[in-house]
This record gives sequence, structure tokens and C-alpha cells, in this order.
Amino acid sequence: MGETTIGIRTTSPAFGAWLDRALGAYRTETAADPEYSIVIDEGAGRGRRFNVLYQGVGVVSRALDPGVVARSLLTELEARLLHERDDAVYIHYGLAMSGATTALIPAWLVSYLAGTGRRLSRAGITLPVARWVRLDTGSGVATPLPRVLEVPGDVIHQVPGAAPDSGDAYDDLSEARPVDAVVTYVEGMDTIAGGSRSRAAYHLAERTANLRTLGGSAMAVLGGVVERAHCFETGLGRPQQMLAALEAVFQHEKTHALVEENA
Amino acid sequence: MTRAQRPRVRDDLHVVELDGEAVVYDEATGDLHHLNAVATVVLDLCDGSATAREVAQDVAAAFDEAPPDVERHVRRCIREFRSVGLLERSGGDRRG
Repeated sequence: MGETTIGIRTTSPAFGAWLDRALGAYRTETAADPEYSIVIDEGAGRGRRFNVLYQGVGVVSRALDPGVVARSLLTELEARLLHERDDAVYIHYGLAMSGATTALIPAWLVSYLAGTGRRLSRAGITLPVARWVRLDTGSGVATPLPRVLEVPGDVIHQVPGAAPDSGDAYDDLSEARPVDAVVTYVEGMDTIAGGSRSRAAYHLAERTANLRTLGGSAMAVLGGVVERAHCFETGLGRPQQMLAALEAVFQHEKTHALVEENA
Repeated sequence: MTRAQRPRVRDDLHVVELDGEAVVYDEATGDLHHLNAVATVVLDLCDGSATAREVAQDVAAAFDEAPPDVERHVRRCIREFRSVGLLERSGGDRRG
């Protein structure tokens, strides 16, 4: 992509063939160490197992549906092109949802929480497929990510073994949504609590892909987002604890919305 | 006679103030800075019109603190601002 060569490998020949179709426009004969690895469960063992996208040794995406992993890979590749865009603010965060309520969460937390399995679904929380969020420069609302890569139009629906009804708690943002809450991680905190708006803006700015391109206008958008949202800080550790913290955030937002509605 | 320095914040910085604290983005370096409440007030007062002592007096009045303690903190703030390049190098820093 551009001047960068990215190595991608997979355990599945069928998925590899899909990669060739999806990313054919970017294929090169130049060799590269694999940066992304996709492990596909091809049903050899008993029971269902997760399909996993790794970047290096870190988990990016983990899902029962290989279609989720495929969409996640495409988004990760597209993110490499975001730093030059000036049509919106692009932040390396995920937009988790519970009903109509939204919360920006650190990108690493998306993969981290994926390991909680069905607890997510039971909690009524949906994780984003993408670990990037597009914020409209005018309104600051989160909007669907644009398709940046040149891939055949229907290829995303041709992922081998795709199982959209697998029960994964993932979804793509399909329409504009305001950001209700911003969750940032503070190392050493042993609880979740209301956080500083300015620190939240600072963390968001640190993770803004196109901050250099947009400069002050990006800062104004982020300032607006945290002004309108409730900001939370947490430093809890295990995935179940982080999930409980996120549940608490959504519960707070829903209660707050109910209070406002009845005021 | 030495003229006291009158620190002045660069006017090309992007500053977002929220709840009395601030995030500063320096486009020239790509650096981001988070300022607590006191540092934000000091930043606001570094407009080239006041010496560090005068800034400290204004901060002390704003936070109802004893001036000598505040002056130490304010000078440290200003040194920090200078070390990360938030202040102008000329104008307020002349010595005579």
C-alpha cells in the first residue's frame, strides 16, 4: 500500500484465496515478514473455536464469525491511509454500543473484551468491528468509516465460512451516532470513576491519526466531543473487570438519559 | 540593570480549555501537553505583560494561596513551559 509492503498470512487456504480476491489490487511480489496473521477455525476439533486476527503477537480481533475477522483486517489496513485525510477526525478508539447508547473505548480494549465471549452479549453490549472511529468535523458525531481500499464491491460477503448469526457481539456503525461517553484507561486505578474532560481530550488527541493534517480543527472537534459526553477513567485489570466497568458506564448513561427525559 | 523576564505564550499553539484544565497542541513539533488547573491559569497569564512574580501574585489571588509558595510553583511552571517550547523566545525575555 503506497510505499509500504505488508505481509499477511493465514492458516486457511480458503481464506488465503479470499485475501487474494479482496486485496488483489495491492498484491506485490516483494516479500515481507508477516505483520498480520489470521487463524481460522476450520472445524477440525470439537466445538466451535474463535477465529483470530493478530498483528504481531497482539490480538486485534477474535470472533466465531470469520467475516468479522475479515472486516477487521480490512479496517486495519485502511487505517494506514487515515493520517492524510482531512474530511473528518479519525481516532484510534472503538465505539462500543448498548442499545442506542455509545461509548468511546480505547482500541486495545475492543480486542481485550472480545475474550469475554457470551458475557458481552448477556451484558447487552456490542463491540465495534473497527478499532477506529470517524468523527464528523462539524458535529463531532461518530459516523461510519469510509471504504478506502479498492476491493471488489461484494467481496466482504464472500468470506469462506462466514457465519453472521454465530452470536458474536460485534457490529459495524451503520449510521451517525453522538458519543455519549468516553472511557480512558489510567494505569493503577482500581475502580471506575468520572474522569477529567481535559484528560479525556488529551488521550483522544494522542490517538488521532490525522492530528497533524487537521491541527487545531481536530482539537476543537475533540473538545466538543468530551464537552458533550460523560468522561470516565478506569484502570481495572482482568477482562471481566473491564467488562463490568463498561457495563457500569452504560448503566450510568441510560439512567442519566432517563432522568433527563423525565425532568 | 536586569529587566525581569515577561513570559509570553506562543500564539500559534492550539489550546483547548475544559473545566479549568487545558490541552495544548503544538503544531510545529506535533507535541501534546495536558495542563492541570494551576498550569492552565499560569499559561493564560503568560501574555508578555507580567513578570513571573506578578503572575504568581495573580495566581495566588485566584487560588487563595500564600504568595511565596505559589511563586515557586509558578516559576517551575514557566521553566517547564520554556523547556517544552511553549513560550516565545524573544520579546519578553530581554535582559538589559
